[in-house]
Amino acid sequence: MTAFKPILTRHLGQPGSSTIDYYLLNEGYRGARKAVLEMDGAGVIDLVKASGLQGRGGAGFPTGVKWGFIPKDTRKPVYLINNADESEPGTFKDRLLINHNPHQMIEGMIIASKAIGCHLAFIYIRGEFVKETRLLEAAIEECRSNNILGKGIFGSDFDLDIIVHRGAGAYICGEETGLIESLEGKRGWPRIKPPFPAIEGYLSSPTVVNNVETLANLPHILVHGAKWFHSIGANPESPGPKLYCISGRVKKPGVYEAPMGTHLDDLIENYARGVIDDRLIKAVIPGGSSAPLLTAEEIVGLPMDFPSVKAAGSMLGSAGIIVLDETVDMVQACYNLARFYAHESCGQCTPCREGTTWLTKILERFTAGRGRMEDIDLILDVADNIGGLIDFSKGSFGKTICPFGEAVAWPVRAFVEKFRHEFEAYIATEAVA
Amino acid sequence: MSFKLKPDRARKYKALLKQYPDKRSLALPLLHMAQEQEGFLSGDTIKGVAELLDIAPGLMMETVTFYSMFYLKPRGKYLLQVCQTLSCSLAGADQMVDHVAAKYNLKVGETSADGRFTLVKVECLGSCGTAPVVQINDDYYEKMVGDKIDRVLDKLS
Amino acid sequence: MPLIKIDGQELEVEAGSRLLDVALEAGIEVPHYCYHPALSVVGSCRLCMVEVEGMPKLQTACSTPIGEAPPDRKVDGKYDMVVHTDTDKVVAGQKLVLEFLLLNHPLDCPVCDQAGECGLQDYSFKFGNAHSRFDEDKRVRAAEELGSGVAINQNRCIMCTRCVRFTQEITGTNELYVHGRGYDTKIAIFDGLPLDNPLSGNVADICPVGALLLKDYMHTTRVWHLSHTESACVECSSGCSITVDATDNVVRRIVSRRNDQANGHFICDFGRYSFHKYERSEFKEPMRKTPGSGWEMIPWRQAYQLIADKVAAGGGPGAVKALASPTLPNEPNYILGQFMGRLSDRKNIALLPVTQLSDMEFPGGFRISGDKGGNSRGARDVIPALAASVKALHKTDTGVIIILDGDGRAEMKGDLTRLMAAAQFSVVVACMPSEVTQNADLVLPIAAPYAREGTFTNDQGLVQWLQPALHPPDDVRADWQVVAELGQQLTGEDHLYSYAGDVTWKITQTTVGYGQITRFRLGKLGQFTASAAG
Repeated sequence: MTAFKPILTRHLGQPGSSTIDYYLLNEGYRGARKAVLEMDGAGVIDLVKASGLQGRGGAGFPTGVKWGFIPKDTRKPVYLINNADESEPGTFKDRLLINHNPHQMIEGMIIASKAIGCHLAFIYIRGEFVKETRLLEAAIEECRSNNILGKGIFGSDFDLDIIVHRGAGAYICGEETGLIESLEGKRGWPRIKPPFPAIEGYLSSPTVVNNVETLANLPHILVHGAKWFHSIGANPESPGPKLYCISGRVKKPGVYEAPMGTHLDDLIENYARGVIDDRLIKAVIPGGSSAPLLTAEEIVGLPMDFPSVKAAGSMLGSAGIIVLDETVDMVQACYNLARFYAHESCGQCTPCREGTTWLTKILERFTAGRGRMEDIDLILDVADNIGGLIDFSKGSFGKTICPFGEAVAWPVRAFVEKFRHEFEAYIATEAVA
Repeated sequence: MSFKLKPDRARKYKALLKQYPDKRSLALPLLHMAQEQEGFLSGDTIKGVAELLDIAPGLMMETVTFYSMFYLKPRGKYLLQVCQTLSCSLAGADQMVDHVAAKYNLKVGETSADGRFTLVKVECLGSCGTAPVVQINDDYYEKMVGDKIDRVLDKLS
Repeated sequence: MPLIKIDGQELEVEAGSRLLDVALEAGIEVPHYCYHPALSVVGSCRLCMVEVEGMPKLQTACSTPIGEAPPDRKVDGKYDMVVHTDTDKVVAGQKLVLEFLLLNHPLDCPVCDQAGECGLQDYSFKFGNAHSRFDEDKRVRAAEELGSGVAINQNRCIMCTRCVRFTQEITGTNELYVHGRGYDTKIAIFDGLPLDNPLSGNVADICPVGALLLKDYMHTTRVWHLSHTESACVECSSGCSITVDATDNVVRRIVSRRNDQANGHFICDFGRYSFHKYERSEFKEPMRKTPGSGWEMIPWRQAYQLIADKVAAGGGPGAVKALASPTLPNEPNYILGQFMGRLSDRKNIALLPVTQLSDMEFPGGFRISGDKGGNSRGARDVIPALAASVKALHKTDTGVIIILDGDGRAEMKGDLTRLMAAAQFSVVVACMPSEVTQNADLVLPIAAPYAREGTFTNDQGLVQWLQPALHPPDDVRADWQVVAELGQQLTGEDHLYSYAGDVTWKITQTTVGYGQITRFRLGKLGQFTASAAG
């Protein structure tokens, strides 16, 4: 563990780390140069497949495989979209990567574009990130004047330009088809799949959507090779360095880079320096607010990689770890998240549009001391009716067009199932009062 | 009053038109520019943007009203957006809202009498590691614990 | 062709068909709201969920295409897809969607115009729960006007977005849009740009619930008191299929009826509201103009005798001129053409001119014909010896002129004015007062459009049966009957028709292109003439 040196965040805090001069002095764009000048698209795809890199946005889908879905013989333009719409509660790694080292991510975009044959790529950045938008625009301008973006980059015959596109405040635009709709200038209602974006995405053209962190890994894979990447971390099924976002009731919240598979309790105790006032942990949300929370017992020795967290009944998701200590009111916390989802539901599918607010209203009633015993099962049932039962072994049972329904149903169910006594106590105490 | 982009923004819009493969995709960039210029998006402004993009005003309105960052009404000079989602809430965001509301004698969603501050609660700003967070216009103010928020607000004119 | 099984029923279907279409066509009820066959598929209401073997999630039938499965993935070795629409899982799925849709619904069925033909009522009755578990405050919103013809009751809306897609995809006018996000989404118009396109009324027809309402019909009747008559619209030559809804011998509303050979799914507002035109005072009895330019009611027999006398006095049968009607069915026009042929060898019959505009076409393919006659093509088909124009009738002296004016859609101008002025006596067959009847010497009353029966041929050659929805006043006769009786009077030959279908049969026996048409085969959707089909 101690042998691990940060890869994605190694320049963090260095003066000038966001400039191209700094980046070029520190071996920047070597990977992109290699991909553009020495390799063909298929070669890049094979390399990334061999590395075992999985998407860091939440679903953990193998990146090389996703690229491979782009039709080889398409006559339409192919688009790459960098998903920088970081909005999952508990997640704040992409903003850090952008602020401290935008060129690493842009280099990743060049590599991905080469792989899929894209000549115009987008960075869809969440609307609130105004400063980061300006920073990225400046970084892209630097690239253009250094022949790193534009016509014939690095002196090759490969053209690529990047547009920074700001969202305007909508969590659902982090879902890739919602994002594509939004990029097209529409409201971000997710699309029915199939067709998948790789076949019909932005402007009905083949499109790949990759997360910031996913792309930031690429330069390192190109330079150090697939084998090197694959050897990082404890679980060969889920390799690589990982950015863990730790927030909530810890002494030192922040983004920590560690090998994939680092234990959750280790991250909390040794990276985030433990719980405030050395209180006990009540529960931990391991992968952004959509991930069902885990109890203090469940997190012990839990390797934070995609398959291990799934096996534990939750998901690594965006690795947004929110620590809830023994003093946290679970009813309030559950209400807080339900309200978030109700606010962010796009309104397209019936169960999600109506159900998220229904849940919120019931939970709000709880927090106001007007909860009833039968409401507890009602909450569970409504959650199931929006997102389906959690049964990771049998796949997803969502009842909506996009995974948002599951994203609200699963955490709510976990809160109620694992801390039912707190919901019951709420009724008892408040009723007496 | 019909809407017109001011020269520098009109130039920027022209440049974007050349970059993007499709006109309607410019909806969000153009709406951001229009809101920056006008302070909020009036019916006439939205109609003007729709005209620039050759789409029906209704479709433009559909886009505008979907996103939380577009405002159909004027706001105060400073838009105080306090994140209220879990990590910020755990770090004291609710107290910060109460504090700011009391300080300027306004309710959430309201603009102060002098037109300087509009206070709103927003959902996750993606800065959970530095909770609690308030976004004031374009800038994030992080770890706003204790009286830190006062020091920030008092500097705003 | 893929072979599939739905609820045990084996079906061979076109590759690429939608599962929902296939099930509905096979008579298997799969409840649905957002899906409409004329609109793009959005899959958002989530009601049409079915179980497809091999797929863990319920699938929305509307968004599930059917294709060939690879040999190793066929179910039972032969099926490309095996579907269940009535398993416990599906029923539970339907129940939960209906529960969500009813959470905020005001349940104001007693005062709702949609009650009795409401998708929410019907599906809740069949598939839903009897009670609500929702004990929170309901979302309450004010009703709004969307345009001059349509209002929205926001509380009843289920956000299926059919109406929005209609104005985007069918009319291309984009008045309606989805305002807001999530729980707060609603159907809206942009301030100052109301829903006032020529097809706007259709949004009420396609609204599966009582949200979109025709102001014209609002609180007029309960739908279960309406008689529904399947007929065709006669207002232009598009010949849309319609259902005429009436109570107490009064038309209350007209709604679109699907006919893929004609209008598809929709009708225009001119046709939809046309029935109001005919609510004006109809003629009740034959009327002759008196010297003081007043009108005198006379019995039918006397009217016919008067015409015969005028023919004898005005140059004999060879000087009788006639104008056939593009607004009346084929039957009276056919009889008119036949007896005019008996009276003289001359081409003494022409078509009454009506307004001609250019066609209005919409992005979704709907077309409003610019020919406001409605049956111009039919009149030309069934009258072989038609003069080229009204002007051609001027070449010889005119004694009696017989004008089939039908619905009073002719404009009194130019050649028509001159012809009537030149005639010694003019007879107008019409259902209500018009500029033409004003200038007549004798008016013979016929039934108004929605009391008519017979065939209409649209400008594409589609022949449809007009089904009467109303009874005409006692002394008013059918158009074909009046013309037949007049012919009998003037030719001295008995006409032998006892109802409209007799005339239709005669037409099919003698008219080029109409040979294969029968009343039975016309059915509800009509038949193309041989020339159109060829």
